[in-house]
Amino acid sequence: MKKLFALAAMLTFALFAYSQQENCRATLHLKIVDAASGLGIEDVTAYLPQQQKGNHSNQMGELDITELCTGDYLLICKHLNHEERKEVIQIREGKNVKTVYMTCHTDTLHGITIKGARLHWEATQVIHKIQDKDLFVSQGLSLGKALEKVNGVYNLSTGNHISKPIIRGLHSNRVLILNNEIRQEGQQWGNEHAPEIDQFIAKSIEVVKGAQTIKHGSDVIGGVVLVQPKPLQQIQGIEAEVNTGIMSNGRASASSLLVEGRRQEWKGLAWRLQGTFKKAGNAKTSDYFLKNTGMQEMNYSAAVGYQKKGFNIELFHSFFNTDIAIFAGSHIGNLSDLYQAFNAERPLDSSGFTYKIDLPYQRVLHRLSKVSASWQADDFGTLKFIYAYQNNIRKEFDRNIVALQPDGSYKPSLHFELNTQHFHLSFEPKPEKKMVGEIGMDGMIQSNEYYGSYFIPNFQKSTVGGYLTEKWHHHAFSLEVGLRYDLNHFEIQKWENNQLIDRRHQYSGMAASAALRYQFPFITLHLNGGSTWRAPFVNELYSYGVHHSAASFEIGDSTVVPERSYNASLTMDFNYQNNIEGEVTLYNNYIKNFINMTPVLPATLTIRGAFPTFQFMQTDVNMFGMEFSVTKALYATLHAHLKGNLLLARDIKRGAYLFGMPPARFETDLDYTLFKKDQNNVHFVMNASYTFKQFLVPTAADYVPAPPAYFLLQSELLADWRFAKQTVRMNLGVSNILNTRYRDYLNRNRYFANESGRNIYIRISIPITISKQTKISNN
Amino acid sequence: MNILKTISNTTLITVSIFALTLAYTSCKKKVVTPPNPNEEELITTILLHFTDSAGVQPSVTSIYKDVDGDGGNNPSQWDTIKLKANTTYYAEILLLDDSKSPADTISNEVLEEAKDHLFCFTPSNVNVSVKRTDLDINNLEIGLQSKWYTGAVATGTMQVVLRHQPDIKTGACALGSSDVDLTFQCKVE
Repeated sequence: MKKLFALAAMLTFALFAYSQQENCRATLHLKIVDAASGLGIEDVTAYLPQQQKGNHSNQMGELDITELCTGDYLLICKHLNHEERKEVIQIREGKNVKTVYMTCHTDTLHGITIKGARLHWEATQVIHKIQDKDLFVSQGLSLGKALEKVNGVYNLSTGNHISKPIIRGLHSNRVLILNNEIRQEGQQWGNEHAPEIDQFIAKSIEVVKGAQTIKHGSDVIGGVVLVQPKPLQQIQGIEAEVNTGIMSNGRASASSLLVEGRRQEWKGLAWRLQGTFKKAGNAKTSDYFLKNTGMQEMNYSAAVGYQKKGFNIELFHSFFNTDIAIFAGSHIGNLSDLYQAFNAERPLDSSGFTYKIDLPYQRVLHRLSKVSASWQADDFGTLKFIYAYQNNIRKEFDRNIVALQPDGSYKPSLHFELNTQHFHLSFEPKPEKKMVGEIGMDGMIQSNEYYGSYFIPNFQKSTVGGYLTEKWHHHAFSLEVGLRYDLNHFEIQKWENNQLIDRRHQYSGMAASAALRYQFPFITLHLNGGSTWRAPFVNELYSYGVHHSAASFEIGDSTVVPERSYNASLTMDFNYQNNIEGEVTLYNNYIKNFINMTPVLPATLTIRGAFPTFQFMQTDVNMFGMEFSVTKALYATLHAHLKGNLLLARDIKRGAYLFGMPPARFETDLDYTLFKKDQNNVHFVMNASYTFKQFLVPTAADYVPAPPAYFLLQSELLADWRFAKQTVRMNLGVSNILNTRYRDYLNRNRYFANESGRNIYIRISIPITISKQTKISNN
Repeated sequence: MNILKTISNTTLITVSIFALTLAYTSCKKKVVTPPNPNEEELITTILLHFTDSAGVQPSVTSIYKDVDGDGGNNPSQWDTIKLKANTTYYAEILLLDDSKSPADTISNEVLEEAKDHLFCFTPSNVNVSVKRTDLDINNLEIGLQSKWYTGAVATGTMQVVLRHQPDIKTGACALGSSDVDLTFQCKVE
């Protein structure tokens, strides 16, 4: 191989004079990465035979090839124990940067299958990605449930179908969810308002814990979740994909059909159509059915993109529509109802199985339309523009005597319509030497109207923000810094004592973040630090009313000020000879003026009885936590994985632990390869998890004590099998094998009923090639 | 420093495009008047009307009234139920929405939906027993009309609860949720 390179080098020299005449001053910077471990590979020979140029990679897996002519050329990468990699790449003027993933030879593979979401190497930040198999085995689950695969992320739920992620103890307005690059804007302030996202759109879901990056917004105190579809540019030929799954508990099904394509004659034009249907009936605990716990969801999306040279434009539209029944036993009139429900051995209001969605229920409709355009110029950089419009209609129906209309139907008790427009403009200059940067602006115009009872006021909000990030790397060291400014302005209208009042609020602030990465042999260190802020949301300022599922009377405080977080985290991830791999993180998040619901006296007296009163108040909190995960190859066919996390969230002013924070959880799984030959493989996975009791919270801080610790067992078969030149993926499993009776601290329904019992599920994913096409080089 | 120049140039372009878009869209902003909560249907008032079955003692009316609904001001009226000892009263319950003019009679809606509603009465430290006298289409008691039997002189409380029991009414009080839950002071004189 070295001889080959020497030859190439000689020819390079011979051709030197010739190259100078032509437009042959381009450089190619390659990073060669092991596809399994994500680590750079040393001593890879990379060369372009048509140009007779090549080089070797350094310890970091990086190399530069200079004096290249522009055009489409074949690139070959060779390494002793990796498979040879050939691809056609486009060399443009100036500096070309590319990452090449190489896979180990199968005969030397003693690597490990990494379970769960794993570290993504490229970023200075610590990013966890759920994709491929991990994403497949979470199909049909809610977003919150799927993200539980990421260590330190929990699921805040209200029953089975309403759930949202909690990242390091924070959720709702403190976690930013980006759906296809757009900030998801629903009524996300509510604990029982789940993100309106069709997971079948996603090709990958990324989680960035904490405020490691402020590129997407300054209100990322808890973290960012990025739901990303497969890029349209990657579509080849015409293809379809059928995903379907059924579950025994709730007799649920979830199916999705996707068709996408690109025509040979219109190489630049790509399109995609996708639709999803989900249905579930009453769920069953280990002993009884939960009355009125079904759901139905129907979504579709369409995308079309056109690409020519450096110009790219995409249109995207999605429609999300769901009806979610609210567990009958959780809708309570007042506090004595709550105690009665809690003390009952099983819900007084029981039922058998039905798909029927009865009152009370939620009906949510979410539409997103987006246009994005980017323009890449060789000696300039990349300019990107996005405009998006979101329309969110949320109706919550209660079987309440005052909601009954003369015709016998019920009008929604809560009814909101939220319209949001987003603008994004960013510019990424052409990378200079070892620097990469981005500058951008975001704008948002939003209006909320309510038609049912008052809970939050009407408002018109506009925000504008600008950011700058710079990334610099030198060998094993990389540094990223970011700076952001946001201005947030809104007006509200509400009735007070029969008078319509109009108030204005304006908040602004700076956010900054810095991330450092240093790579030692086998070990990579990530150090992150930053400060960011969040403006109070309308519900924290103006909510006023009885929250039925919570049996509480909630009162906002229009004088609260923005909260500010100061956070730091240290992550060490290691990979020793692909035999043991893992990561350990320590983090601390200090939040000044943390806005929190606090019980106040006296209870609010209503005709329905007394309700404990909660008011939004501010305090200073400190959240310290630890997360770890280790994967070890016990044998070539057996891999063990262990992970766990712990969070201590303290209210410093009151000297007590915070209510509603996730309890510690430890989880282990064993992955046994039953069969492996060519592209066919069958895995058997056994998973056990132990969730502690949330013992930190004082008993007086809650109506009822926190539920006890619980242990769950799950096992599944996962197979990839070639049928008719397509790799079909299948999954058969059982969750809660022991049919354990338990209640989860983070499920609002823990006051009323047990969690679901045993569940048997089957999932299948079938790709279908309708027409093939020769590969198009897009680099 | 080429990079800085490029950045500053682009910033300028970015800002101007942005300003234009924002200016354009903010002009179209419409403000919708929210619905006045005072126009919403509420249960503001419960009226308990007692007449002596023998026609001897004077009739009694006890009222709870909170016109501005949940929260806000405290109830403007919350009477003590004062009944004569050793008497049998016919009791009738009226639920009103006094925030409207004229007042809306919510108890008519309860009557229409009688098969889903049940009044429950729980005395404490007073010698009063209550017997519901009206029936729904399933022959289950409702409680809009009842008979109250008073005993010896005493002072205590009487809890009046309206349970909403959609499709699950069996005559038992435990099921469902509360539409009304008030504990009146009660005096048997």
